[in-house]
Amino acid sequence: MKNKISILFLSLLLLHLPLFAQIDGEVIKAFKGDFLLKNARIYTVSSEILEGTDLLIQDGKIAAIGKGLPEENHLVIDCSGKRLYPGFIDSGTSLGLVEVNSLPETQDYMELGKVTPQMQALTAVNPNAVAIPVTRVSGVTTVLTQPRGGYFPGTAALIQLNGYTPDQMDAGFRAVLMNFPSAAKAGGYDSRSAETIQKEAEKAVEEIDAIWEKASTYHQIQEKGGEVDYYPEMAHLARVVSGELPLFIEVNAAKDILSALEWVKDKEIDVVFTGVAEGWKVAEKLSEAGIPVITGPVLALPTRKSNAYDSSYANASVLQKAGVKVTIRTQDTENVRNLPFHAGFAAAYGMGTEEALKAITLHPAELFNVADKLGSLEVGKNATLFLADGDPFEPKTQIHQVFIDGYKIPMTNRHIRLYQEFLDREMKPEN
Amino acid sequence: MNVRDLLIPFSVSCLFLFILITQPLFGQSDRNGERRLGSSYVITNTTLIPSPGKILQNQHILFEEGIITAVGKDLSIPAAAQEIKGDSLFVYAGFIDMANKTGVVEPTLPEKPEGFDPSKPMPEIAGIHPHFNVTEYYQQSNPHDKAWRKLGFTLAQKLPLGKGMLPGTSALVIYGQEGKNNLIAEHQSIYFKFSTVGGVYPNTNLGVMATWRDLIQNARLYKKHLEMYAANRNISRLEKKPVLEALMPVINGDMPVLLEISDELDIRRALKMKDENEFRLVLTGINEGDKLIPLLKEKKVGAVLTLNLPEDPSSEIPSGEKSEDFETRMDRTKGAYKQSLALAGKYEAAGIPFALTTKHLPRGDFSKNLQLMVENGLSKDGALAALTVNPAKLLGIDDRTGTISEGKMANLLIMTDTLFTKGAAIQMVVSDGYVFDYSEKPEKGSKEEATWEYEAETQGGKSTGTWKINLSDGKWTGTITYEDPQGQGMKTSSIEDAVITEEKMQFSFTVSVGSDKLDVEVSGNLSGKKFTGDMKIIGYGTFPVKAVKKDKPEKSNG
Amino acid sequence: MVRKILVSIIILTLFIGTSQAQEIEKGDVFIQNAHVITITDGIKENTDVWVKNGIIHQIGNQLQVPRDVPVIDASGKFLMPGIIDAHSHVALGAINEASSPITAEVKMEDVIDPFDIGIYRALAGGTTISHAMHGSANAIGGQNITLKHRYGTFNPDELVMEEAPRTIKFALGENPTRVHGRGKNLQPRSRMGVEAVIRNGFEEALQYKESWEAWNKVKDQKNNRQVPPTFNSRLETLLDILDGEIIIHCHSYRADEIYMLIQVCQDYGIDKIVFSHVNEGFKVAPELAKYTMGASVFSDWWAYKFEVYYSTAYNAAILTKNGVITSINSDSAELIRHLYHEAAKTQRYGGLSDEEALALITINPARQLGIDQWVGSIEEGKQADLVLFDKHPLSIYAIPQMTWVDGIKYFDREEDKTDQRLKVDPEETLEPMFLHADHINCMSDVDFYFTGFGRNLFEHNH
Repeated sequence: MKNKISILFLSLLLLHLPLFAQIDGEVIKAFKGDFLLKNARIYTVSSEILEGTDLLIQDGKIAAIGKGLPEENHLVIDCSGKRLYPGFIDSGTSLGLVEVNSLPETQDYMELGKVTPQMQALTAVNPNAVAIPVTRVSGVTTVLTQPRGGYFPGTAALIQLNGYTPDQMDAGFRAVLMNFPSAAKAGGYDSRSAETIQKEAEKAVEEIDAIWEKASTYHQIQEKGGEVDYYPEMAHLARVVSGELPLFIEVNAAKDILSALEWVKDKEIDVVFTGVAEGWKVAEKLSEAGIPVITGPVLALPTRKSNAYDSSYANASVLQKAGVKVTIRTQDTENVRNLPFHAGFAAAYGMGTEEALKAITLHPAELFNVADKLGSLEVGKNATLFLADGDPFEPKTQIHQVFIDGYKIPMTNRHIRLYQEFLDREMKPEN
Repeated sequence: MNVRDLLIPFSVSCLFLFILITQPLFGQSDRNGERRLGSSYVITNTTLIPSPGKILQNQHILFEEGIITAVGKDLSIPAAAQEIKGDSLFVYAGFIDMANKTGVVEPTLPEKPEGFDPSKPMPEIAGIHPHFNVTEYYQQSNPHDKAWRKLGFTLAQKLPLGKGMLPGTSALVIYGQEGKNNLIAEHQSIYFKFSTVGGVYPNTNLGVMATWRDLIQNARLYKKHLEMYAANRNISRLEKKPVLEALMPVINGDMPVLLEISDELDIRRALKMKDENEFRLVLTGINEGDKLIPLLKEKKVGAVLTLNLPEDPSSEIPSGEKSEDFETRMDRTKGAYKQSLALAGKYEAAGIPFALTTKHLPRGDFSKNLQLMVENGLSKDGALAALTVNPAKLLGIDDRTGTISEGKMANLLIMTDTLFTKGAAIQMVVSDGYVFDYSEKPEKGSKEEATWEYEAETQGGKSTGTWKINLSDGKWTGTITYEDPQGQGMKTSSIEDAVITEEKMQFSFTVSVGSDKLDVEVSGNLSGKKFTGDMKIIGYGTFPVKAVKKDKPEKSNG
Repeated sequence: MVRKILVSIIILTLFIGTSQAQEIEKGDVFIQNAHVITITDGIKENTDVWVKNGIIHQIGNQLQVPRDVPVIDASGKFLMPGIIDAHSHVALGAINEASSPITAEVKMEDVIDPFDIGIYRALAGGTTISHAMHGSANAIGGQNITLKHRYGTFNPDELVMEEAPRTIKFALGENPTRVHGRGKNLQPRSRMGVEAVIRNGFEEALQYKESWEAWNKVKDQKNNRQVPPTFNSRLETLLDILDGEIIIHCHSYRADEIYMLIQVCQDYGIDKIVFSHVNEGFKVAPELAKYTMGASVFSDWWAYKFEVYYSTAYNAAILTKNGVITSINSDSAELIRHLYHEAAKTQRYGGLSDEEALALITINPARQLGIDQWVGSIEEGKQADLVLFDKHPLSIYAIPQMTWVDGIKYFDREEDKTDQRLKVDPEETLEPMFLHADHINCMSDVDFYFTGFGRNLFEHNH
């Protein structure tokens, strides 16, 4: 109770402060409350755009959407001339798993071994990673954070970018990751012959098949009630075999995508392809197979020197137009904040703003089975949303307020604090 | 080596004739019967191609002590001359190879000292040792040179080895009699290449270019110091710098730089070096850059093209690549391949008397690649010139070899037909007046073995296996493996009636199916290591079959 | 079809083949009725730009359309000066001569690669000039070269912007201390050592100068007993820096090291210095404004290594507001394709105006490279390096439509063919695939020193 009062007090105080401001010696914390966002242009994503509409946040949920909602005792935020969007979802990052990219001590995204499906990304997420507040003030509220390396690098977790423990950040979705062996010649350093590359890729697929077979057997024994040894790798993969956990397959080269389609064909599992950098070459096939795709980064070089310069920009659009359900990721860590710009480039190069918006809101929410909570602005869903003074894909636009699960997120981070301190520095050189 | 020696102009002027007098026997008999009867030979009534484009019939060629003493229709033939009947033969000048390194070993470099500073390595560790002389690392009469001689080469420019940019000076050697000193000239050119030892300065082309600039400047200052010291002993002595000494003939214009390149940007760099600090430039290893031909001509740069042509890209199209963009890309690749083949023809058309190098070329590809150049624009005379008179001129030895006339060295190639005629074979090679007989005799005990992997498309699907084929005493025999039609694994039959030429292969074998026997005939065309043809199962039909010759661990000369 | 393509390729190459070694091509064009973003003189609406022989001849409303000049209808479109990248490694065959802490003698002009597809891709992003730099392995690296993106030539020299002054790469902090100190047991191992190496270099150069002056004085005298000194282009180059003939472009991150080099430069009377990356430049913005030719920064890169952990995306804004000449560079074959977007980010992070944001990629980098009298804005008499956008270039939806260098159109989105490679490997059947955007960067060519360190050290090395 005491806590609640102090939060209320603090919040009242804060509402009168300009953007970015801080109290000397104080820390601004995220806090929960009943917020009435008045007179906004609401981009619901799931249905039409609502002009001059209010949105009420209560108990972390969107309690009401409508015109002229009563103010009662709610904390009112005037949103005139501004827009509300559902929080953006990045469907592939390393956020929270690494602090400084070049320092091995801070890298927790990779475990030793080729077959480590049971390694849990959520375990290693640092809730206080400096990049998290840097990311969320851009309107990116939710990310899939992923381990890397090997055939089965581990289990990715969907996290929301607010919380003090991994559990508080848990947005309720897991996926087992798999790297599909590539038969493409890699970069400029791969001196293997075409034949060797093909053979090595085939051999790797055979190895994966053997593992898969083992996991299937494990699952069958379990089904029949048989006793199995402690074998955490297979126990975890068995959950994929049974359909309990989805399998996210990272695959990029066109040829590999076709092989991967072949590989999943007779498996009754829940599959998503990720990366899919050359999806534009085989879009029809992907569409026929009905496999959803997480693609990105959009701001990337073409995969081959002979490809059109804009092939990466246009990839998402080509896939979407072919009927593939497309979701966009940054595959970044510290610059996940650029997700809206990746979506913006995809929009500019053929996808259109509306579809690109879905690719970072509703589509990932559906893909991650959290569409009942995230991905659009609808009554009953989580109050994970943000307020912007324009099109959030446009760099010029400012994001004014972010809410995650009903928490009003402080619109500050280390980048902003450094700006505040150094914009007009004291102690300048003499003239 | 002393400094005064270096001041004598090198290269061609110091060609020295070695002693042609038969070694004294000191009382020993020639107990194995190895000596030749004398050094005097005559080729009679032959067709002579004295230089590219000329053909003379019914010629006699007399040579003695390694020198051609007479050429013509009516010669008085000394009684001592051993006759080679040339009625059905064709005589060419022996081939000359540029920038060749077979038989050369890498020098041992000094150990890195303790506390070694890679930013300031001693020149030898950095691959900068232009003062190294290839003759000190060259093994005369090595088996590779002999094998090249069998293909018609009688003389070669030998390159020093080394990982860095200035491995040393080249030399000219003749592929002559074993046991003789076959060196023709040393310090013939400074060899330069765009490469580095790695891990020390210079490490990239950036450092190589900068190092060259400083070396040239300092060679000039060294010369200045040398002149001062010669005039006045009252100054501090010249600290001996072998690297700069070795470069002085280059700045004096007395010795060419033989500069090896690997692409057209290297050619640009070489021209830039020449523009900045003039020197005589011969480029070797040219494999592309037809746009640069006029520039090379204008700047009077010597050109040596590589015979090591790219692999035909259509010969190994990876499986599973059938998309439209792949096809478009392959068209460009094939276009680039065609351009590579056409390069020699373009040099000829531009009037640049270029030579050829076999460096990096597998010996087995020599004839094929020369033929490819001819099929893609190079005239036959041009090809001959590139192997004879042009390199002789580039090396400054055209007064003694490269063509056939009185007074020239007896370096000859004796063919059964004109060059480039299908089936023409080398009968003999004369090098330095020594006759090497390569005429085909059914050599006893000679063996050749090859394993082929084949793939046939039959009604029952793909069928694969191997052919093992041996040549023994002039007869081809062997075995074939195949999947048992009754599914009992792999089976083997013996190969019968095999006929194998350079272009064709055919044989037959029998397959037992229960009590029945199937007769199978295989025939088709050979192209290098590839076979394409048909497999005819008598009474059942004909099916396409492809095969690839498996590589034996053949020694590379590259 | 195949035959047709082959024939056309052959004809094309024959055509190029005859045109070699000629003057650099200049073009004429008349761009009609555009929103002309001049950079130095605001936006001019419905304005025509007439380019004659590669130079902007006339700018005005409803100009008389000249005869025999291609006319581009730019109604509703935005014309801006070609984008200039002050830090790039595109079109280079080698990046680092990492074998010595000072390699001032090496020249990037020796390793220009005109076949790099990156040049075309940069043009497709409106970038017409790039500063092709040595890498950051050495405290004093090599001499850079300013390139104009005249894609299509096979002659590396034709990419060089002849007018551009000489520049040289310096590098501070983690890269030189890692390569030399950790990698080879040579100084510098610390930021103290970096300073010492640079100062030692300058002092040695001064001694070198003295020895040559002494020699030149006596060399023609009778009874001269002095012998010629050794020539050293490394020290020659350092002297040229001291003489103000070369602009330093210094790879740097932390405020302390930036401050250090400013002090060194002050001591040696050097004022031609630009700091590159400068992630902590914002901390010493007043000093950068007072003593340097400015800072060339990333829009938002940070945290890829420890020395950029305390960065802010507001860097460009803070620098600009403090009067530092600021540019945004790519250091990447990917970012160079959308520097207009990178500049736009300064509007989100610090609210720069359109003018301020666009100056970051045009006139400001031009000033830092010493080429602002020729390029960097649309003014009569300047070189006609131009890019036409369908929307305002700071919008996320803007797509470059056409790009000109010297009045020659090198990119046209309408006519863009898929495969723009100038040269193809005759043996290539399996085309390699590149998944990591930044495979070429500041630390290229230094891998051999670190085989034991593991690859992930090299994922982000700017």
